[in-house]
Amino acid sequence: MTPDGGPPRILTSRVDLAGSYTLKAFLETGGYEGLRKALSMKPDEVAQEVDEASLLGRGGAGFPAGRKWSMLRPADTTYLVVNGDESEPCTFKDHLLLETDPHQLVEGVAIAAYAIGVEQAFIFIRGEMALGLERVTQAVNEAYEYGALGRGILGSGFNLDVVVHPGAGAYICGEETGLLESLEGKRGFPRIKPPYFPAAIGLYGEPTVVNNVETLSNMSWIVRNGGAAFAALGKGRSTGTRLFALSGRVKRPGVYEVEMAKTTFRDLIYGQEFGGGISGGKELKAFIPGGASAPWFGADQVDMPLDQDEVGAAGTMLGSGSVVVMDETVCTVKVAWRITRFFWRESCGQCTPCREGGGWLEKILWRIENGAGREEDVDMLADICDNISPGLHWPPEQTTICPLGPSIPSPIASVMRMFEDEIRLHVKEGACPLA
Amino acid sequence: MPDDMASATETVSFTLNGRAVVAVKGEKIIEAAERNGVFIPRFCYHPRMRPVGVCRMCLVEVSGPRGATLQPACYVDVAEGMEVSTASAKASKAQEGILEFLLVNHPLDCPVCDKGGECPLQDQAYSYGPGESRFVDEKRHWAKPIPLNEFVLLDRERCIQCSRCTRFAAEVAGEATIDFISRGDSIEVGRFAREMPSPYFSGNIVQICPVGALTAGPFRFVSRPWDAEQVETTCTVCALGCRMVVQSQSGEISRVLGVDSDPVNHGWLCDKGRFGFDVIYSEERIVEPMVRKSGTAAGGTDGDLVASTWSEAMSLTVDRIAEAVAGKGPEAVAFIGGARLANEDQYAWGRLAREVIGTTSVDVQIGDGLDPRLIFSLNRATVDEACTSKCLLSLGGDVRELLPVLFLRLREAIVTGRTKLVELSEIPTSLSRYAETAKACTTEALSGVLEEVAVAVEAIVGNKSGEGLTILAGRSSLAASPFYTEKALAEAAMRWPQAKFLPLLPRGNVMGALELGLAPGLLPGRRMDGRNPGVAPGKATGQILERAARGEIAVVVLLGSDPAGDFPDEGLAMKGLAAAGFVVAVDAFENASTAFADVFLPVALAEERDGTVTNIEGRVASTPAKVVAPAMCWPEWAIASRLATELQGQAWTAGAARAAAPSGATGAAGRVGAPRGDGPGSAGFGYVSRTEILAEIAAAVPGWDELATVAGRVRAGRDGVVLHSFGAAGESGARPLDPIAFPGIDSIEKQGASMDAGGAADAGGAADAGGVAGAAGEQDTSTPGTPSLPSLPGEVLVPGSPAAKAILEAFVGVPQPDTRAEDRFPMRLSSPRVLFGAGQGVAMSKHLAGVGQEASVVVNGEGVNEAFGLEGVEARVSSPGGSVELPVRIDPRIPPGVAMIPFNAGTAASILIATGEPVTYVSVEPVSVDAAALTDGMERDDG
Amino acid sequence: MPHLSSESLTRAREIVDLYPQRRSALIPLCHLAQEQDGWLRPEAIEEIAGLLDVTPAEVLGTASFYEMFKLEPAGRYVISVCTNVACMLAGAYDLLAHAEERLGVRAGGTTPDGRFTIEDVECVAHCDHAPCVQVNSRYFGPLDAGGFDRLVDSLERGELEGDVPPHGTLVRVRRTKGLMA
Ligand SMILES: Cc1cc2nc3c(=O)[nH]c(=O)nc-3n(C[C@H](O)[C@H](O)[C@H](O)COP(=O)(O)O)c2cc1C
Ligand code: SF4
Ligand code: FES
Repeated sequence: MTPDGGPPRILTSRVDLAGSYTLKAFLETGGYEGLRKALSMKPDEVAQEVDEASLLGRGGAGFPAGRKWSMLRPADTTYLVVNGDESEPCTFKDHLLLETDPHQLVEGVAIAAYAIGVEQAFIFIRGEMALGLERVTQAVNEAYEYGALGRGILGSGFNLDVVVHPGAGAYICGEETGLLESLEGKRGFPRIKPPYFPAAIGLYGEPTVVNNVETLSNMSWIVRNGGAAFAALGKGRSTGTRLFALSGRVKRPGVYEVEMAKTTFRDLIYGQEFGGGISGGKELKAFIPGGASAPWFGADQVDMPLDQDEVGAAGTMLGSGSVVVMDETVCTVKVAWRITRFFWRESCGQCTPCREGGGWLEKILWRIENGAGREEDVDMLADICDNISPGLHWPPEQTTICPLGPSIPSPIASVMRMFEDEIRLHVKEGACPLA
Repeated sequence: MPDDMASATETVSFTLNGRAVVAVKGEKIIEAAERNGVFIPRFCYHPRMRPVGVCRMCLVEVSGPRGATLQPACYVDVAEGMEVSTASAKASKAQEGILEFLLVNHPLDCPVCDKGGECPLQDQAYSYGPGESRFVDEKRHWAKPIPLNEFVLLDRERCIQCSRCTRFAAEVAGEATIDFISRGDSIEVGRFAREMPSPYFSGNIVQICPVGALTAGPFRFVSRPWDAEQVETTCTVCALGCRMVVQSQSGEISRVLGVDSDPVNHGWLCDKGRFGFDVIYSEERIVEPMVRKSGTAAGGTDGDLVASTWSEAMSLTVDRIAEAVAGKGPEAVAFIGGARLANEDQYAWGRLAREVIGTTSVDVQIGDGLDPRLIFSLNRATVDEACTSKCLLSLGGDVRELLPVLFLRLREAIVTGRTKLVELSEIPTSLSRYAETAKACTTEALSGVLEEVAVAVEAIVGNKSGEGLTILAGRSSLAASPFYTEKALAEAAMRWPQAKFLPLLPRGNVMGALELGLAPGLLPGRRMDGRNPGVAPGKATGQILERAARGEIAVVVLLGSDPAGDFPDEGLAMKGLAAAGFVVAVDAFENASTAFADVFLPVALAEERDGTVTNIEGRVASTPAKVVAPAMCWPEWAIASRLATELQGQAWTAGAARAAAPSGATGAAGRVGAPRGDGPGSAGFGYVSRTEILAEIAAAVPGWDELATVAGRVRAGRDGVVLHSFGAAGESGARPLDPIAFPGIDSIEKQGASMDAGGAADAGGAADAGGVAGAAGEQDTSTPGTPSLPSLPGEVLVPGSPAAKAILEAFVGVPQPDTRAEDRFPMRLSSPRVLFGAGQGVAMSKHLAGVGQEASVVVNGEGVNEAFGLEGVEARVSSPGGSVELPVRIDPRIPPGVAMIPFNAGTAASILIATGEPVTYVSVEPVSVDAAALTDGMERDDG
Repeated sequence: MPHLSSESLTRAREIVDLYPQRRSALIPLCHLAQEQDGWLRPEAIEEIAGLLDVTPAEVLGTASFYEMFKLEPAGRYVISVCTNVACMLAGAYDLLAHAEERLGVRAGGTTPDGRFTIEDVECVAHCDHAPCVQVNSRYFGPLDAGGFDRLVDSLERGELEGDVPPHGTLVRVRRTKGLMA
């Protein structure tokens, strides 16, 4: 616990430190102690702690890290791949971790690799994050120098090589199989399932664990404090703390580390230590609770706790940990259009519904927003969405290879559900009523 | 698939649209449904490529742990108890939705699209689509057709991103020269500006494109599918014998498509086979008989070939043959070539030569093959056997250049891990990169290197008997005598009695010719000729030319062959033809050799005549005619038949002819008589139709009796029948084809152009091997590398038989001369055959114009004269036999010390090669170049 | 003649050695070539293909999938204006319009002097600084019209050379340690 009795800062303890990304600052603040401790344990014991922590993956799908590790198919060659592609709109928490505390990630990678018996890891970092790439590359260099990577890590018999791999600008490389393809030097085309998990067949066809940057950045703390201490935070399956990237119409957008399940969206948006309220004192209209793919919440759901299962039961997700706030002046059609435009531009192009559907929906929404909508467009929007994701329910059914496809209808369905009048008004008035 | 069903032990039961059905374990829903009569719409799925499940057209409802969900039928395996609905409300809505999405960016220009009428997108949009598109916005735009290479045009607006073409390039052809560029809905198929897809297999991407995005220049706008007639036939460009259909329109061939023959070509064709058909329409084609007028016959070149009549051309030919036989004996008449002929033609010409004239100087191979007695003594592999053997051992020859689609088959077998390749080759081949072991090995060193790799080969197959080993029997280079390869093959066969062999002999129907009597020393049905042959099998053409040069040959008949352009020793060929008393060209085009012709007899080409052909496996398949030959062009069998008739009218042949008539074939003998009429239907040997010849072959040649002949076609359907196992004729059933590449395939086989005229087939008796008056004389053992055989008259060559064993031993025992480079000629010449050479097949085709290889000399660059570091420099290549000037190309993959000149890209190589020498050595020097100027980068002197 | 400089080639070989399979180095090598030339030249594509034993079409096809690789010459400074939701709600489209006006080119275009390229890009994960831009993948924001002008001025005067390397230079830290031998 922090001195003020609040939850501990598991992930962001160093972000305010000058030179937080250097080995020196890291070592002065307990760096690599978690790794030392882990190396003194048996690999299974380390994995056991993580399992006990009930750490849910922070990349989007929220799959328990411990369980994922246990699924790794035993083989001569196995890999650990860190997903640092962070490209989901309005998600910027890994960005913070990569730039401010790269050694924490490297330590987490080493601990995870040790726990699952992997000797080769790749840290895939979004190409546009030049500074993050530089900081992590530097940290890896330093870690080799220090002996935390390479042969016989910190005097143990454990070996680990880490390669920092730059992306080159493609959201779809965040999808883990698209990422693996990209890492193999190919287009980031997500792989068709089955096989469902890279843990069975992953990089170069070998068993591979893919974990998010934030997920792995928790490792040092969990090993040092024990899985139980982590699990004591939060509630139910939603344990520990988690980073939320808050943006949109709030006074203080930013990344906040909050205890899961104990905090509500209201706390996050309005709390003085967090968002500090809606900018300009306007009313909350709606918010996106977990990235562009997530169905939206209306103002009436603002008291929902940041609990993965509760949010899931309410028909959406915490996803990538991004919360985007829309106030009463925001045109939801325009937001839906912009997100659709994003998915259209980022579709890898393999699957017909995603490739063609995204562009079509974008064109219709653009027309509606700009006053050229037709009466029949509204029902057509719904039907096209249904052809991409039949039934438009949650979790979505898909007609595509990866979940990007069924994500496209998500904002449109949200607007239809909550603000159908607003769309119809656009059509009727032949202009955006909020412009 | 039914055969799979039979052999598959594991089946699964599932429910298809409420009906209980059975599938093979591991089968995809789309395949299982199709076999059970339910067609699921699709675009990206192709039965010969790995499923990718991207177009999503095949979505069907499949029961699962979380209820029924939409799954791609092309990707999901059928599982026990699975319930599949292909047409439920949900599945149908999904399918409609996909079609509507596909049409979002697809232009609605069907009336002007080449694919209109046979377009799977159009068809499936009618059957499974929403009726009309609700899309009213602007479509994506691209510049209209852009060329991908010499043949293929791409209209990116019509592309539906199914990735069939890009996957074909990467997965099947192994050359990802086209790929998806960009992403999302701006994905376009594209190539790197400086690298075109090579013209080997590019036509296949046109055939498998499910929309009008990829079209072929040669086929564009020439036909509408509803006007086309088609017949299924066999490609005769090389000896693999790919199955294909030839389509025609108002009696003109408009298009060729590959047919999926399971044991042969899997639906693929090479570009030469697909696009080269237009040679039959070449303006250069000779369509009437010609005789050389004025001047004397000797040398034949002082005068012009002028149009004539069949009677004049025939009687001149008959007279000269008669004179030749009377003056110098039957061996003074020689026959060269015949690989382009159908089996029936070959059989007829063989009988004419051996029985009517009585010569043994016949050879289908023009110095580029292997001894047929050896080939027939080896266990032959089928292509399927080769592709499923544990190890492939190649003794030379680049399959992609020789038998292109065999390259696709073998490559697939290797990259999927079914088989491993050990390659011994003078220069790297297109398979080298896939080889487990690829060793640079000169042909003369084969025997020794074989010794070295034997351990590795045995380790791969896991035994010492050679079980699971297939040996690819080809020649790396035509600049080294075949006997090194022959000896190595015989040694391999002795070392590994269970090993099988696949001969890489490229010429169209060469195997048919060897089996049916156009090989010296062998009678039809691989029976050893009882007479002393006077010539060495496999080397006969060389000996014929030598004898001709010495004035011993009075008449040379060229059966669609061009020794002057095609025989490895051009000098000898020219000398021989010039000295021959009388040259008869049986051909469709003039060539270097027909310049010596005194008579030119024009022939019908493959698409114009019915027949059967035999491929490298020994598979016999039919080649029905599709179009009608120009009026004066006769099928080759008819020419032979007519010549025989007229010759039999001559006193000197009568006895021989009667004696030669197949025993028991009284009908045939009875018809021998005076010629009647002036047409191919005249009775010669008694043949009035090709059907009759086929019946006679069936009676005379072991194995052929398995081919019941119905209206002159072989019984077997699409796949033909493999005969060399004597009697193991099998038919395989229909498989699911790719209905996208092949609309309407099942309605083929019905519209051939001309059926054979004439009556029912008489069953002839077996050809009698003995008792034919022939040339006496010693077997020629003076030709180096020719084994001296014990007398084996009448023996049928069956692998493993005493005769075959004796032959193998004889080849092993042939002494091998030592060869060494002299100071003056320090480099080893290597001269492999290439697919797009300068031969008729390429030169006379407008479609193939531009892909023919230019001659050049390719060297490693290391250890050669400094000057050759510069590409394109002109060099003089000299051998003891001659000298040529060629541009130099540098290729680091060529071993140092080797100069490579493609054999059939012009005659540069054959000018250098002297067939008398076992190996050709050359020097490579800059052409009158001031070396200093070169190194200074100054202008070079082209003189 | 190799197109990549000998220094680039040395680095290219080091990168290839980091991976279990050569082709994995494709994207890093494209970044390397872009660092050398500012864009991905056909000559570089050919050379990368040779180094990785793939076809030039595969390098082109793969590279063109990714936004960051420029297949045509780009400006020395590529200014990427984020217009995704958070930035849009903070006025990104106005900022983009201003940028286009200030530099006299439309998004996707390059100034005639080859100094600036403007792009309209998806979220660059800097949403707490909305509206934000990246210049050669280095972050700036929040920016109003005035802030944008000052940024351009500084770039033009070369005041940001240290912070913003020329387009194509991504990671200025070289991997010093090889893998465990
Ligand atoms: C379209 C799409 C984009 C994704 N983007 C990211 C991403 O940028 N970063 C990330 O960590 N996970 C992303 N994911 C989730 C990953 O596929 C994967 O679940 C995650 O990396 C696993 O790590 P975790 O278990 O530690 O969360 C994305 C998933 C999809 C379908
Ligand atoms: S759903 Fe879209 S992004 Fe995902 S694989 Fe298909 S086309 Fe690519
Ligand atoms: S997804 Fe099955 S045929 Fe295309």
